Amino acid sequence: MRSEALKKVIVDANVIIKLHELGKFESLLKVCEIYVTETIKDEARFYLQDLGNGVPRKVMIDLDGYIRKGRLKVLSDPPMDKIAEFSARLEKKLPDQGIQLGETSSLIYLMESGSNYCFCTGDRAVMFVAGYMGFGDRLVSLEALLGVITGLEYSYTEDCLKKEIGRGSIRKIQEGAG
Amino acid sequence: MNMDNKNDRAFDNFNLKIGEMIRKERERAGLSQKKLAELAGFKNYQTLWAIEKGRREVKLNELSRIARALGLNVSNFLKLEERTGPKFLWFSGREKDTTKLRRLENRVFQVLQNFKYLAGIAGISWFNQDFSALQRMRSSYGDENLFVTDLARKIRDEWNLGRYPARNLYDVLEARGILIFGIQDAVTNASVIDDITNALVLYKKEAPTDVIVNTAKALFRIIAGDIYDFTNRKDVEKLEKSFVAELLIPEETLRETLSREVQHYFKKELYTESLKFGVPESLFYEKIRNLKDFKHLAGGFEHAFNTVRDSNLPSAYLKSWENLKRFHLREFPLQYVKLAWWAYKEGKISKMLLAEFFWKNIAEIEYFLKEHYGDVLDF
Repeated sequence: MRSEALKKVIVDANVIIKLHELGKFESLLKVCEIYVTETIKDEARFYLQDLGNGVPRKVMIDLDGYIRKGRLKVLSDPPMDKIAEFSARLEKKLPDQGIQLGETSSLIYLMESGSNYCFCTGDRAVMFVAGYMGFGDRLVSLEALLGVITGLEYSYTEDCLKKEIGRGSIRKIQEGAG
Repeated sequence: MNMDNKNDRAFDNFNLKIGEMIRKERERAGLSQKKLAELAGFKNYQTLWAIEKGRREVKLNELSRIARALGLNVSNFLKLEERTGPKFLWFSGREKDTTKLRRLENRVFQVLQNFKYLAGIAGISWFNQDFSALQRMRSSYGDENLFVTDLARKIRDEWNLGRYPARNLYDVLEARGILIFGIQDAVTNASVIDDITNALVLYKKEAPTDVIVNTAKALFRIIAGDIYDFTNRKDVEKLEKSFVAELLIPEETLRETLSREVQHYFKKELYTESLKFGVPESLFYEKIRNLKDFKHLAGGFEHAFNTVRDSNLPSAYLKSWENLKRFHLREFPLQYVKLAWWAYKEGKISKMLLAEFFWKNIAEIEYFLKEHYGDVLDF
């Protein structure tokens, strides 16, 4: 199984938020070593709990608590000049595809860390970009890490991940970039 | 040459440039270091001071907070080029706080930038406005007033605004890619003239009829922004009024209304007719007064309006205006919201970018869009 080989997984903010919504974040911590970048940590400060009355309740996510206990590790964001360079390169190659700089910082880690890290995201645009950049195999779906979870949207599934990475790879081939 | 030193220098140079950009944007927004540090959540302003001087590296999350506090997106700072903002023409100004205005300008600028980007992704080019043909018309007119009146007629015809243009105005503007902002706190109106995308910033709390008139005024400023000097109000006010009156109250429709109702002008029916045009009664009355052949009846019309003023407005009329406000006057223009949502659903932009486009957090963006734009988005 894919998750058995995993050691270090950088998780995206949407994954942290989704798992807190579903009450499954602890399960993820048991499966692998979890990392977040500073920006992702900043983004995943809270989630909204739907109380059914149209007024969602803001529930704070205590990532600092996990960090203090050493159950979650924080990676410093890469230097801004590196982010700027990567971002400009991406914009040139994929002008019709947009990801935010926070996600860019995770992709830089993937690119520079050899095979040390994997990235878990529920964002189709990020999967596509990773496929295009040639490190789609370093992405892992939440479904692959935790198995089938009720209430998990399609974008967190293995099927979606494969499709988006495939789409990115095909685009790369079509452009002759590979 | 030592490679490390070379890299260090390049790095320092980058920090200097980014610090300089932050300083320029802060000054453009009229904020002190202390105020920006506070808005961006820094514990003290010395950190910001060091970042601006290039003495301390700015981190991505810090830059995100600075950008958000300035009403910009973080990617703006990475291009390391001084940005050139679009031309803002403010009118009906009630806002005295220039800092607030600058931050609002930043947000509008940013939405325009994002919109261009999103339209590029979607392959849409319909927002290209070519007013040059209309502007060329001017040279064949000796009378400016006649020119602007004809300009209004021409636009009405070309844009198929119909017999009662106020009713279609928003849809037509939307279809032509003119973004409409309905800002609640910015108690002022503006038109924004950009190379590619144009926008109207409207004060949302105004009466619907005033909003319509201000929309038409803003449209005039966009169209004639390069012809007239809008900083000199007196010169253009009369022309603006003529344009608005003709655009919203087509003479042909008005004449038809009057010839039908003229025998009963003292009746409430005339007032009801006037409501169809969706303009304030003063403008409607003035338009009648300017029609030579009806001039002699103007006193009677005035009497008719005064008689029915403050009486109950037809409920269907009010309802339609409420709907108009609900669908069109939003803080973020509907075309922008629709495009951004489409791009996210199609996997063209990430959720984090979607959130950044609305200055929201990733956790709240979907709730925000659902709550405010759920009626036009496919949730």
